[in-house]
Amino acid sequence: MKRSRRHRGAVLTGYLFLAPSLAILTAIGFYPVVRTLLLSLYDATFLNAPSRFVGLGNYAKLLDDVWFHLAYRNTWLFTAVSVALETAIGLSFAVLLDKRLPGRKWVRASVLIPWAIPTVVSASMWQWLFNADFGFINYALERLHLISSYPNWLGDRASAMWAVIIADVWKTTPFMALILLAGMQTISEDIYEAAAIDGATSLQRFRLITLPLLLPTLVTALLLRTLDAFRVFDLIYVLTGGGPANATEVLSSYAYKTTFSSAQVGYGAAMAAVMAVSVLILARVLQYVQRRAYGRIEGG
Amino acid sequence: MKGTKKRIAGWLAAIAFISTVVGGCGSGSGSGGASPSSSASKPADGEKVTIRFAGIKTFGEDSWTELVKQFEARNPGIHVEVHQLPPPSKSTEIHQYLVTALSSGQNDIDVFTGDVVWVPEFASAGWTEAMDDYVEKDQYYPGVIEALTYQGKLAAIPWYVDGGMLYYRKDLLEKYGRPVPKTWEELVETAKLIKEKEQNPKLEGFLWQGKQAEVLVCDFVEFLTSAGGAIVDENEKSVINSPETIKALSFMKSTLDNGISPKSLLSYDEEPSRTVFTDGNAIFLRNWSYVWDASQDPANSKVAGKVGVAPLPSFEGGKSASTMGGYQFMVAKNAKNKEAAIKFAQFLSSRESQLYYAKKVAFSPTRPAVLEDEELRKESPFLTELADVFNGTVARPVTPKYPQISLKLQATVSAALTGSLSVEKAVEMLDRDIQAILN
Repeated sequence: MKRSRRHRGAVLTGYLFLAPSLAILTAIGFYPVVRTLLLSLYDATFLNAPSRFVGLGNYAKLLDDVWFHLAYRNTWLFTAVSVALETAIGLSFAVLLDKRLPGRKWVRASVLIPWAIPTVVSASMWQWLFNADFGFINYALERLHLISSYPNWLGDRASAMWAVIIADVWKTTPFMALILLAGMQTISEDIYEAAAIDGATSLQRFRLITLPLLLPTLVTALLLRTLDAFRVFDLIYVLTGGGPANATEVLSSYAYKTTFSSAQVGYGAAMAAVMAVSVLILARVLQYVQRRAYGRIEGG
Repeated sequence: MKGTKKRIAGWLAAIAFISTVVGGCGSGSGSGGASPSSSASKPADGEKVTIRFAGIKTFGEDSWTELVKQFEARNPGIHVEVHQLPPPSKSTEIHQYLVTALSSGQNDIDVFTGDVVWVPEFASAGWTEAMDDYVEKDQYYPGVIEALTYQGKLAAIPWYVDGGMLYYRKDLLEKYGRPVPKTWEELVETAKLIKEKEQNPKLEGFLWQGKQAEVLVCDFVEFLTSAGGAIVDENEKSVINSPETIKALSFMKSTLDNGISPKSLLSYDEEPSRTVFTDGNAIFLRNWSYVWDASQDPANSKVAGKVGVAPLPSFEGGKSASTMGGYQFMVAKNAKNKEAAIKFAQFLSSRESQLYYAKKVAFSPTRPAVLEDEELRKESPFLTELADVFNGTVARPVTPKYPQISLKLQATVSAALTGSLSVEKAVEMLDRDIQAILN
C-alpha cells in the first residue's frame, strides 16, 4: 500500500518533469496540425469575409482538380527518380572515397560543396546553366556537336522535370555519399581481411560484406532523403516556378500558391492534409523496411 | 578503430551543422519580404510622427530617398520609414507580403504601393481607406479613377499606369519598306518577310511573354480583347468560352508553331524577352513602357536609336488593346497616423512627384497635366504620343477573386501553348473553372 503510493508519487513527479516539454510539443507540434485540419473544413480565405463550414467540401474539390492530380503525380515521380539516382551515385562515391587514395581528404571536403550551397543559390545557378539561349549546357552540347538547335530545357514540358531532377541530384548526392561513407567506416577491416584470405574477389566483398552491413545506414539515408524529396519546394520555386503548364508543379508548391497567391487558405490546408497523410504512409512503409533491415543484421 | 569512430562522429557533426545552416538559409529565402532600408530608418524624435511606407523598388536602392527627403523637409513633423519591396517583376511575392501584412492586423504598414489588379481584392477585404475626400478626381484620367473605384468608393490614389505596347525595329521596317503593322496578320507577314530576307538565324520575328506567370495573363488579355473577346462580363459571369478566345489562343500558339516566335519564349517573362530584343535579335516585341528607356541606352542596348513604339496590333476588324498595369498608392484602413499617411500618399501622387518618376524611369503619369512639361516631351516623346494607349488600357477581370482566376489562366493557357491541352479543351476548362470561382 505504502509502496504503491510512493510509486504513484514518483510517476506524478515524472509527469511534472515532462510537463514543460509536453507543453512545448503541444504548442509547436500538435496545435498547428489540429488547426490546419480544422481549417481544411472551412472555405477560409485571407480576406475578412467570415468563412463557412464546408465539411469535406475542400477534399471533394481536390478530387476534381486536375492540377492537383498532376502535382500529386509529379511529386511521386520527382521523389522516386531523384532519390534512386542519388542513392546509386552516392553509393559509388562512397565506395570510391572509402579507398585509401592520395588526397582523399581534399576530395571528401570538396564533395560537400554542392550540399553546402543554399538551394536558392544553386537553383539560380542551374537556371542559368539550363538557359536556352545563353546557358552553358546548350553551349557545351553544341560544341560537342550533340545538338544543332538550342532546346529550351526549362520551357519544354518533356524536359523540365528532368532538369529539376538533375539539379536536385547534383545538390543532394554528397549528402547520400557522406552518410554511406560513415556507415562503411564502421565495418571492421578484419572482416574484409578474413574474406580476402578466403579468396573473395573485390566484387564479392562488396556484395557479401559491404552491402549487407551497410543496409541499416542505407535505409536510414533513404528514409531521410525520401521524406525530404517529397516536400521539395525551394528548388522548384526558383528553377521553374512549377511551369511550364504545371509540368513541374509539386504538392508543396501548389499548396503554397493556393494558400498565399490566391488566398484560399482552407483549400490549401486540405492539400497540406493530403500531403501529410501521404508522407505518413510513406514513412511507415520505410520504417517497416528499416526494421526488417536491422532484423536481418541481428538475426544473421 | 577508435580513430575511425571519432572521424565518423566528426563527419556526422559536419553534416548536421551544414544542414542547419543550409536549411536556415533555404527557408528564409522564399519570402521576398521587406526590410527597413538603413538610410531611412533613423530614430524618430520624440515629437515626430512616424509613418511606415512599403514601396516597390523602381530603379535602384534609392528609389524613394529623394522624394522622402523632399516630403520630410516640407513636413518637419513627419518621419517616413521606408520598407523596400521587390521590383514589380516580383509581383507574386509583393502580393503575398501585402496580403500577409494586412490580414494579420499587425499594423506594420501605413501606406503601400500595390498593383492595380489588387485594388478590388484589398478594398473588398476592408484593408484600404476610402480616398474620395482626398483626391481631386478631375485632375486624373477618368479611366484610372474608374479602375481604382470599387463599389462606388475610390480605394487608391493613382500613381502610374502602364500598358502593353509594340516595340519594333525602325531600321529593318524601313529597309524593306514595310509599314508598322496594324493587324496581327500583317505583323506575321512582315516578320516572315524580314526573317527570310535577312538570312540571320538568330533574328526572331515576334517576342512576347509565354512563361507561366502573371505576365502571360496580361499578354493573353491583349490578344483576346483585340479579337473582340472577354473573360468575365459586368455581371461577374464567365464569357470566356467563345470563338474569339479560340481565335486568340490559336494565334498565340501559331506564332510558336510557325517559327515567328521562338519556343524559348515559353520560359520568358519581361526581362528575358527584353534582352533578346535589345541585343538586336528580334524584329517585334510586346512589352511594357520600361523597355523604351532600356533600349535607348547605348551601354546596354545594341539597337539604340533604331527602335519605334506603337500601339499593339489587333485582329482584322478588332481594336488594339493594351492591358492595364501600374502601381498605385493605398492607405491602410488601420494606419496609426492616418492623417500623415494620407498626406504622404497625396504628395507621392502630386504633379511634381509624377514628373520626377516620368523623367527618371519614364513612368506614364496618371495626371494629363504632367505631359505638358517641355523637357519631358523631348526626353520621352512616346509618353505623349502613346498617352491614348496608356489611358485606354483594358483592365484584367475586376473582382476580388482575381488572384484565383489568374492562377487558373496561367496554368491553362500555358498548357494550351505547350500542347498538353488542345485549344478547345483549354477554353472549356477555363470556362468551367472561372465560373466555379465566381459562384
